[in-house]
Amino acid sequence: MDQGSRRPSPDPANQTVVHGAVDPRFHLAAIVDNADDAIISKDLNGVVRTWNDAARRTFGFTAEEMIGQPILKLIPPELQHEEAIILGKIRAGQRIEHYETLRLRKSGERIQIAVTISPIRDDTGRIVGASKIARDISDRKRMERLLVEAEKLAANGRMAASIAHEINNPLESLMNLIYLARQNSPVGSKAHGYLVTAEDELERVSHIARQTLGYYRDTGSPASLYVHDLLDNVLTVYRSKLTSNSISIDMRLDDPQKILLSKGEMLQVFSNIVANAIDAMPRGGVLTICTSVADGPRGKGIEVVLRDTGAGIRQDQLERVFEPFFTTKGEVGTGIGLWVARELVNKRGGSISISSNTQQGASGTQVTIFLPFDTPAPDGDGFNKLRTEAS
Amino acid sequence: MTGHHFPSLSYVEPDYPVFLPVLQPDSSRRRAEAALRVLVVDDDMRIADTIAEVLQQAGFEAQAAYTGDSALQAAASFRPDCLLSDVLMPSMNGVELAVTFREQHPTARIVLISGQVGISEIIEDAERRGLHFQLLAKPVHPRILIEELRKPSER
Repeated sequence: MDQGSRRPSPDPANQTVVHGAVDPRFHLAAIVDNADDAIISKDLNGVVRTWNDAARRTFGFTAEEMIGQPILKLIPPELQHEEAIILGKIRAGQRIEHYETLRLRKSGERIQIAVTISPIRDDTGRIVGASKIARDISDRKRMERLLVEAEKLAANGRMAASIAHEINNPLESLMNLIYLARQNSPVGSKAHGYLVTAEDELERVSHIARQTLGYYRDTGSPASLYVHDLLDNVLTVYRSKLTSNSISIDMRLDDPQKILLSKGEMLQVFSNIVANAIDAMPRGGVLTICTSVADGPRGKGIEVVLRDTGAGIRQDQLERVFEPFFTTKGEVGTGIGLWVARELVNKRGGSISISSNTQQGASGTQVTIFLPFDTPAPDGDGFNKLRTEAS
Repeated sequence: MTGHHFPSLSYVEPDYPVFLPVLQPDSSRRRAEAALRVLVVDDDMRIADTIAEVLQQAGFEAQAAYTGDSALQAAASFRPDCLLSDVLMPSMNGVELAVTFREQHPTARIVLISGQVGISEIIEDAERRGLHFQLLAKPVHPRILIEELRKPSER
């Protein structure tokens, strides 16, 4: 926690000198105020009565902003029913221990907290409210998730490697056989027509196999090429899908300079982002693609902006889109597309960022990729090669 | 038809063989100008055979082999312009094959093809030893393979 911003608190030692005797409540007040955990009390109607400094740090609201306000202000809309259950338990004299849930910060950001809630009794033993000790566990949860992901990733890598061989080999023969069958069937015959379609379908399967089985990471030595050519390539692959989803393309290409890139890897980057844009616009829309020469932290380079007019991604989800296995697409998402994209862009020494708007009428997601003309310094693995071939 | 007479030129069987040109679409023309010889190696026989056939139809002279050893043997007489080999094969892998092949046929081009993730280590290891091989990802569409092989060698 950030210790620096902590407010100076009353010094109990000084209090002793002034009053001659220590009132234990001063100790308590100091402890509460210095605690790392948010300590809040509320009455039986769920109205906040006290609010310590850690609560301010955790939730972003000051004591003045929260005291007298309903605690519901902190609870996300879909979890508001929790408060009735909590108050019910408190009235029955029960304590709620280490309950993990989501709460809202003043900024609207969602945080994961662990909370312990106990009844507060007056002198006669009557329950008059509840004390709530909350700890922000977002960081811990994030670490846990990353650990699980690292594990999944390793397993996934091993599986992909073994599946790749088993799938790509039969696909290779199949593609050759269908190609030969088409070449040897009379043009214009029904069989020829079927084989043309079969070949297209097979090309789709192959494309998916190459993508999801992560082949692109291994291919291609870097070559000097135009980014707009790569984008053209990607759009060709998705042309029929774009058309059938009524998505129009707005291209503004201004990258008259070639750049040293690994073609396969960059194709993968752009196609993952275009695929996301298509999924984001099931009822049509506009995919805008702009390229330009821009200044970055590592000198000049090419900036590519891909923007869709889909529903947008919620702020709390947006922060996680580059994490492996995080997907907003439910069952159809693999959760590796943007993660792979970022890995590949970083490997090239570039940067990738995302912004999104969920406001109706202005919604959409924008991905910005910057690729510097200079290739990365030869310190990381794989970079040596890039460097050698650049010189 | 009854009242009609063909010119009275009776057909006489010639006493020497006549060879008429057999027109094969596309392929024979290309063979005349290029006729690149490609040795295709894959332990998956079906892949080696179908690639060889695809290449033959496209005007290459192609031969299939199913192991590194038999590929080296075949290369001695076939003298390929290009070796197109799978990477992961039992007993002798594609890179080992390529290394020996290059010693014996220093001017021939070498293209490796693989469907396996993780072989980049084999390739990187070879590059550290100063060997540069072109690598294609399986499945590669026949059209792309043909285009690739028609391109002048990268070396």
